Amino acid sequence: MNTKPYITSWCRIQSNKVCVNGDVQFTSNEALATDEFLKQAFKAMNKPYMKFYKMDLLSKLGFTAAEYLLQANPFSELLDPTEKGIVLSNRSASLETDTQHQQSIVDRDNYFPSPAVFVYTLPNIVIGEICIKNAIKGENIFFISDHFDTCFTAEYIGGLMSENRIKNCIFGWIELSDDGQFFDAFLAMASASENPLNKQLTAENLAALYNQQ
Amino acid sequence: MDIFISSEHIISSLGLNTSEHLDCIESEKTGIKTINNSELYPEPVQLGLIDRNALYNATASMVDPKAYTLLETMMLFSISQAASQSNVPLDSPRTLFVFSTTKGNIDLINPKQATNLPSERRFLSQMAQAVCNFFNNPNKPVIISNACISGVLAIDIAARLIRTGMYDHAVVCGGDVVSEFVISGFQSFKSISPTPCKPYDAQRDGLSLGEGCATVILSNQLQQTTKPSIRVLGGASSNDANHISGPSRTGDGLFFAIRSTLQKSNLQASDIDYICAHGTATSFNDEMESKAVNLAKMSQVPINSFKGYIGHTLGAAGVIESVLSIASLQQQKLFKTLGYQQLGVPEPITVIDRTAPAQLRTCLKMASGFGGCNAALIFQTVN
Repeated sequence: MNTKPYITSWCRIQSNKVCVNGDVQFTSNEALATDEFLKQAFKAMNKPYMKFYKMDLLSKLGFTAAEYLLQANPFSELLDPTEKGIVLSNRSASLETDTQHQQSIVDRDNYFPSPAVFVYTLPNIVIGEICIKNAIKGENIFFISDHFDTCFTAEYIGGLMSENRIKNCIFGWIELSDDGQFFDAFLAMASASENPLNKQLTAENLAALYNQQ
Repeated sequence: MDIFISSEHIISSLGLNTSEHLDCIESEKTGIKTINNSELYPEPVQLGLIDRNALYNATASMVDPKAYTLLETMMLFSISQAASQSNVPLDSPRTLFVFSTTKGNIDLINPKQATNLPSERRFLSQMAQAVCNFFNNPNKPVIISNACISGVLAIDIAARLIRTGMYDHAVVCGGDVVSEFVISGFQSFKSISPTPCKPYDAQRDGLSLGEGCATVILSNQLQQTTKPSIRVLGGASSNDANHISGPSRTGDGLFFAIRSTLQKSNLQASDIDYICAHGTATSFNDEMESKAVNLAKMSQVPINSFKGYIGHTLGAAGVIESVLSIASLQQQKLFKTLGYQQLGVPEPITVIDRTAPAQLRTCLKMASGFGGCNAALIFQTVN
């Protein structure tokens, strides 16, 4: 049996806006640096989480997108943690944080490598942060590609969920340029059975959502 | 659909091909040595480095050393060596390239390293594309960067993608190089041992870093060779959802990955003859694995780690160690866990402490990594 899963909600964070299912949830009037924008976007949810402030920018971006996504469309309470999955991708891996770590070691007279920074020099740590907050223990993976590959993503999530183990899967694109100035996050929830938006997870539907202005 | 291993190849501190590795392992030789190179680290440090001169000599006629990074050269060499033993066509649209790496060409962001290479190659997709282009493969490569489980994931994802019917074959290549970037980071965690690492041992005191690259070529067609044929069964990942740099204290995450892998392979714990584990020799990792193995009711299954021979090769580890566990199946031999003398983990496990013949059919490979991730995969002899 090969029924495609459904997209039950999505969240987009780019330039100065956070949108969920096409509706603006947060916007900043002035141009803010990435760190400040994400902090404000997260604080606007009014759901404090102290670990947020230790995260690197990539994790703050992905974590904020996941929080907005799950606020609109939480995981079903009936799910076992192993039935929840997460599949993310981006182009720049963890290069923004890599640059921070590199700066801490480039000068032997000013040498300060720190575990608090180094741990984030792996792109999948953002997956770890989202899993910790939401008790996600199922299949998880981080892919790298030049652009958000809607064909590959639709196929991969479809295949994953047809195994009948993962019932809900967060997936998408969490990209942060290595200078930290440009970001583009698109996260969506795939469900094996619920279909509130009447939207199958196909490459076309995914591309249409991702390309929405 | 059956997925077979068509061929394989490894480079690491033990040598430039798989048989050099097996010779060293049989002689209980480690590739981890004290390295005194201030460009890599201000103090001497235990590292498993490849013989870079030997690599460049071996690739001189094939690879322009000014056009590719060290890691790319390792990948080009390893893939071409594996391909020479396989009839899988590298340039076919039915062949997919799948890469596994944690840091890729990270030295390209080091301003102290002079290079003429385009800085775009710091992007993993550009690195992978450079390798694919060399072999004229027309497909977009799949790249997995998921900490230390990347290699195991890459083999599993490649098998899954062949099973979709979109591809007949896959070239899986995992690699990472030792860099100042990575050494300084692990040292900041105080997790590097002053001596070659001792997986599961009561005196274990941290990991040893290593570098390497390995290739596994998968196919849905069985290629008859002189060596026994091996198939890839199910694989799975999981997350501890507990801590980003320390593993679960209960081992439940890794246990879930093992359980799912068994289910997908239609096997039970009693079908597993050998576990090729992660065994980094940190206090927490080895302890966690002992708990996961007991949750999975595999405390009696012979288990080893290869990291005492080659160090922790990060994005290469899952592929290198899979190749070595496949060699175990093909040779009907269990290899000693170098560095291990006395059990030092809280739950009982059966650590392989000497190399000896064994009747082996089915091997479980497992790995865990930063971010709380775990992965498992099963290999089985065909007959």
